[in-house]
Amino acid sequence: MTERRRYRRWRLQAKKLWRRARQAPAMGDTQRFLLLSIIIGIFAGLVVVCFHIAIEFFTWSTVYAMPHAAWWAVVLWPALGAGVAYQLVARVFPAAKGSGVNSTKAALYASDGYVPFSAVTGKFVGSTLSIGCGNPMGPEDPALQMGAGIASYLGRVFRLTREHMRLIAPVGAAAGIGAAFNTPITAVLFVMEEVVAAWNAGVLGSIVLAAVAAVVTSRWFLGNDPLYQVPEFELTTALELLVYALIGVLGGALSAWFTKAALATRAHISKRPAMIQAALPVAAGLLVGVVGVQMPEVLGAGYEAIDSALHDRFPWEYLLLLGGLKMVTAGLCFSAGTPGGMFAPTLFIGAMIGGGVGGLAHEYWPFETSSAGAYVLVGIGTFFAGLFRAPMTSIFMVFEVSASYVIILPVMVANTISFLVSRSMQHDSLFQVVGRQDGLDLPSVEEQRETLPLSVEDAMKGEGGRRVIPSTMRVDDALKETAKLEETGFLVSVHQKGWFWVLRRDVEKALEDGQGEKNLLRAVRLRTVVQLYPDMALDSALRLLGMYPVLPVISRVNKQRLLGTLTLDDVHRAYGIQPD
Amino acid sequence: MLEEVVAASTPSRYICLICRNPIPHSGAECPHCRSRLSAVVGATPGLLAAVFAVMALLFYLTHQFDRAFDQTRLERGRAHYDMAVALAGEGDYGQAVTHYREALLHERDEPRYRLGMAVALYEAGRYQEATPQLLDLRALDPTDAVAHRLLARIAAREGRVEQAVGYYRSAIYGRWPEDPARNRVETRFELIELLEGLPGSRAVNDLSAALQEETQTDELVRRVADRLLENGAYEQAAQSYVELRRRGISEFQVEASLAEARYRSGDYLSGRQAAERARKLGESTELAELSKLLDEAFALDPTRPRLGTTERFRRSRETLRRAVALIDSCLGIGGPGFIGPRRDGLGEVFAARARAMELLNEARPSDRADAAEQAGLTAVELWGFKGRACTGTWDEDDALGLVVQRLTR
Repeated sequence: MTERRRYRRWRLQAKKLWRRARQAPAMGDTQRFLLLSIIIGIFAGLVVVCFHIAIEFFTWSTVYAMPHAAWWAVVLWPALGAGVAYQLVARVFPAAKGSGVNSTKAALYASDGYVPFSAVTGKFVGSTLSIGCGNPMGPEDPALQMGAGIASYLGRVFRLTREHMRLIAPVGAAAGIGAAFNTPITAVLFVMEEVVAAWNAGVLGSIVLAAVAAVVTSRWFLGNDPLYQVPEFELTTALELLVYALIGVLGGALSAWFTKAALATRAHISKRPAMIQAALPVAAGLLVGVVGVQMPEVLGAGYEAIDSALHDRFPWEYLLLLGGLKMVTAGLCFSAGTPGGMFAPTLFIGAMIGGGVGGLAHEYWPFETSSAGAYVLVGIGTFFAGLFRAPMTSIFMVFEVSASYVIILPVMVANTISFLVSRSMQHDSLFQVVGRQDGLDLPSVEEQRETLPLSVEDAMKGEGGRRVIPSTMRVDDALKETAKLEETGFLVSVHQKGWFWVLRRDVEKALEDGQGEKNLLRAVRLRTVVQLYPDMALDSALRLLGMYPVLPVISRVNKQRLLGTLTLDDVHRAYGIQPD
Repeated sequence: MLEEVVAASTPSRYICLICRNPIPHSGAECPHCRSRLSAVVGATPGLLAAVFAVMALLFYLTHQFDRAFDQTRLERGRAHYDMAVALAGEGDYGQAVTHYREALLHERDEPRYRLGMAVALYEAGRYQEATPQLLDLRALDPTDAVAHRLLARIAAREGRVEQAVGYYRSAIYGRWPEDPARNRVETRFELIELLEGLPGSRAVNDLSAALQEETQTDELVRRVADRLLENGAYEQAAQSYVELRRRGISEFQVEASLAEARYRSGDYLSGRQAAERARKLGESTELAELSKLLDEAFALDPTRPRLGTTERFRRSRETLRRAVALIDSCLGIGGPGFIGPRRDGLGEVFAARARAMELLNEARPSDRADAAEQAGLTAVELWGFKGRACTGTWDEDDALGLVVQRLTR
């Protein structure tokens, strides 16, 4: 009896609590967006963990089984995986086709944050089959798109506002890439540098929250181990930086060449009949298999091979050969449309080029040099910086992976040089040109970032360009002085107080009232006016010009000093619009 | 499922977050307070509950998937490891390496697998590949004695002696997974073997350290004593053999080695006693020769106690005569074609020889005790000139050497 009563009382209390919770306004849109970012991070982390495990499971039966398998099995596995994955994506999950970065950017700029959930399923299944069977692609780009897809779906479920829905895909993308690569800083920087291109505090907060939640979830299951076991690094002599610079030049040149080659191959393939297009991933897979018989390091994402290279387990000739072969095989698979990303292959290629050049230097450079492993570590980001045009991400990625501060100098040298060399040889990044080839005219984040907006100083009329009346001037004199002005009013300077706006009609009224002999300060109502600084964006000033026809531009260090004035006509002229 | 929950909990209305008045849609301007901060009434807790439920389910499923993955991974790693161990046991190190590598792919942090691979690579003679594996192990555990020992062997093989010595020392004072005492001793003896090839007495120092730092088993003392004897540390070797005797070990080899150690350190009397004990326990050609030598020295020695003056005089003269004979043999005096001193700096030698001949020619000295002493001193003097005089071939006289050592003392 007592038990039943206690249970009833507990139920009543629970109901009351639930009712109160339902009635309470839970949280505002911004808070909801931040909470959702954490939820997205956890969901993306869980899905990426499953994705990682699924690839591993597949790899055990295919790539890992290869040392004990017949040669023809080695040749056939990648082809089989690529063929089945391509068909699945083409027929069952068409939303999963193409690059994850471009898909996320399209969600941000074109489709109000909409990424179909079938893209998540398609990327999961297709990439698992493809990478698990040994195709030389990476899981990061699919993970990025899966994160974006999950985020978009949750955003729809939570009925986010349009502004937030647009931003939700990049938030999910950061979570996906963070979980896949186990590097939260890299994930945040990559999305900011490659997708969003705006350092908006609100977006940054959400992206950071999602990336951290995803990495924590991923580490919960997969452990805290970094992707690579990085040996101790040290810069032997300053002259060694020349070798790192050479790695940067080589990485940049090769990445530009890679982009051009991939573009040409894709263009060539797109003109072939559908049947041939469907057969190409299989053909590319066969080539991968043939290479894999002799050099199994080329198969799959290649993290173990990078790890081995970091520990000086390969001679420099072999490293260069591996880098070259990975470039050819990954390039062909990518152009043929084999599901999978280009993130891991670029790291592999960069690492091998770096290691190869480093090994060569170690042997022939007249000065003391580090072991080849150090060059592998520095080389990791060079090809990436050149191909994706994300120099900051590439620098921080190596920094985060190595956890070594000493490495930052060579990495900065190599990656920046690679970025500049690649840009001088090939104007747009791989994602941009591929997107354009696929009919997606997405804004170039790089260009957006580098375009200098017009500022007030570009449009303003300098000191003396426009008449400013002192407040001590008589009303009648002021009226005469400003008779030729077209504006409805004029600026008045008041000693020690700054600048004010005076309407011509107020001055005329004062004259009519017989106050013509009085000065402006006494006779006319002085209206407060917004003051501009010369470095302010012209766009921001434009919004204020609706309220005040003329705005004073003052110095930031001396507020009493007028640098110039700005009107709507000045703004028009700055934007190249000729006033009537 | 989530969609249904969403449909059921779709927000019926939005309110202003500031003044809590209703607003038409999310983000719309509040007609009362002009705020644009909106909130959903009622629906969020239900939706969040549903989302968290799905999250919990997915978490559980991922956990199960991860557990199955981990279990399979560990099993596969272990299977490869077992196979590798079996292959290494059969001496097929090449195949063993392949399986160790596979095992490591499944569990890269397992030091047993990495150590197994390093050992297999070492045994297969692939030192270049073994080194980075061992360095990894060393990085994982700086006290790993096995890795250090292998690194030391590779370094020694490649001629990096000082590095090898460092690795050996790290191994000796490192952590051994099994049978640490035995492994430490074995490693120390490997180090000693390496040091024996180097100039100086570094090996002897390490042998002494072995006795001080390790548990002194009979086996260890015996091995140390033998190595000390080989390295010319006769006094210390003799002490170790005496220690063995003190422990009740009465073996032919111990007594014979003690006899040699005593003989080499100049204490031929104790050596002779040890040789006598050894001969009771066994026989060997070396021991027979040593005994003969020691007996000869015993018969020649004028310093032995309880000798009469006549006997002491006789022995002293005999010692002097043999010393002269040795010098003559060295200088070729009496031999065919001897034409006198041909080298500089031999004047003192000839002068000493002349004094010796005078003493020998004096058949009945007035004071025999004094004459015996004079003869002994001259013999020592002549023996001292041995290094200067003997540059070609000569007849060695070991018994005389032992007696002269006694006389010198």
